[in-house]
Amino acid sequence: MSDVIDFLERLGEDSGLRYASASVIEGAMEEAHISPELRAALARGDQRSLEQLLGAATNVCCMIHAPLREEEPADPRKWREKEDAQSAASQVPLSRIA
Amino acid sequence: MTLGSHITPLARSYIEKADIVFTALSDGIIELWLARMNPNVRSFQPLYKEGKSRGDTYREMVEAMITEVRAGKHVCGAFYGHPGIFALPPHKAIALARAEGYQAHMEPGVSAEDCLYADLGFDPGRYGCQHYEASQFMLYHRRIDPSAYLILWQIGVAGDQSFARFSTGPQYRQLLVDVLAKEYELGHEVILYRAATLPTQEARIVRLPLRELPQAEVDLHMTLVIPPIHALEPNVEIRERLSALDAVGEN
Repeated sequence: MSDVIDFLERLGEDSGLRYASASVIEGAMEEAHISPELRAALARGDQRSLEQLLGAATNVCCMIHAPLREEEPADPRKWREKEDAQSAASQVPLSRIA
Repeated sequence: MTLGSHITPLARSYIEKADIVFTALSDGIIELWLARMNPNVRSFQPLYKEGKSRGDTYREMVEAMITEVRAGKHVCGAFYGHPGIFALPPHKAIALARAEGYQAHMEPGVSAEDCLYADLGFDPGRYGCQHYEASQFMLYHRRIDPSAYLILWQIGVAGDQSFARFSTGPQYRQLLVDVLAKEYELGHEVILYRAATLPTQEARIVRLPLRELPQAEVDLHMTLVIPPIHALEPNVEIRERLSALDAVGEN
């Protein structure tokens, strides 16, 4: 798995690879000894298969913004007062990523 | 934004040197990548649940981070893109930490917005560019300038008033179209855009007439780009007043 992550990092940071042709990337995958299954998923850009093969979390939620609502004070200076008045959230265990 | 491509050296250093790293990232593969930079990485993903208000999720995120700060640890929050753009918990966590006397800092990152300009090939400075969160745009009266670009973020949950949904459907997007139709013709070309998060991907760019937005395939990562529909209208009065200043050599 770490070879594939290494490869993805190299693909992302190497200007000679990031937008290279399929044949160049295929050659780089071969040099990196990526398994045929993973190579096929990478070549297809099949993120779901990649996630499953690597044991990565799927359906990751990426939203970290919420719009204002009527009950939120329209004056930005009053947001802090309202948040301070709310009680702290309950403790929820967070997963450690292996 | 893209694995390997867009992490800044300084951001990476903060991640590597922190006692604990909390993450809210765009996908699971990036979680695996980032987990290799520090032995103590905690994902915020368990805090999300469809049906649960994201307001509660964000409060829990802030609480998790400040708890570790209070315990004397060097805490890093790694959020996808830029941690301060369309991102509530990082700002809240920093404000709270500073209010309690702790040092806290936000390091800028490469955001989906930055990728959008590069991938779609337009300069926000040319005609101006307005940004709104899609639901906020629907829930409030906003005055927009149709001679500038209009970017609506989180189009995948447009019109969600509960903050508990991971998607809203065609009928919600139709209401958005109804709002936009006050300024834009239904045949006006708009763009659905999604930045590449893995280096195996290209950006997803779908051009379609505004009227087809409700039926389009839209996910959580997508953004709606609406190009200008009117030309810029010269402000003759101000131009004349500026020229008068120029004539007398005023600063």
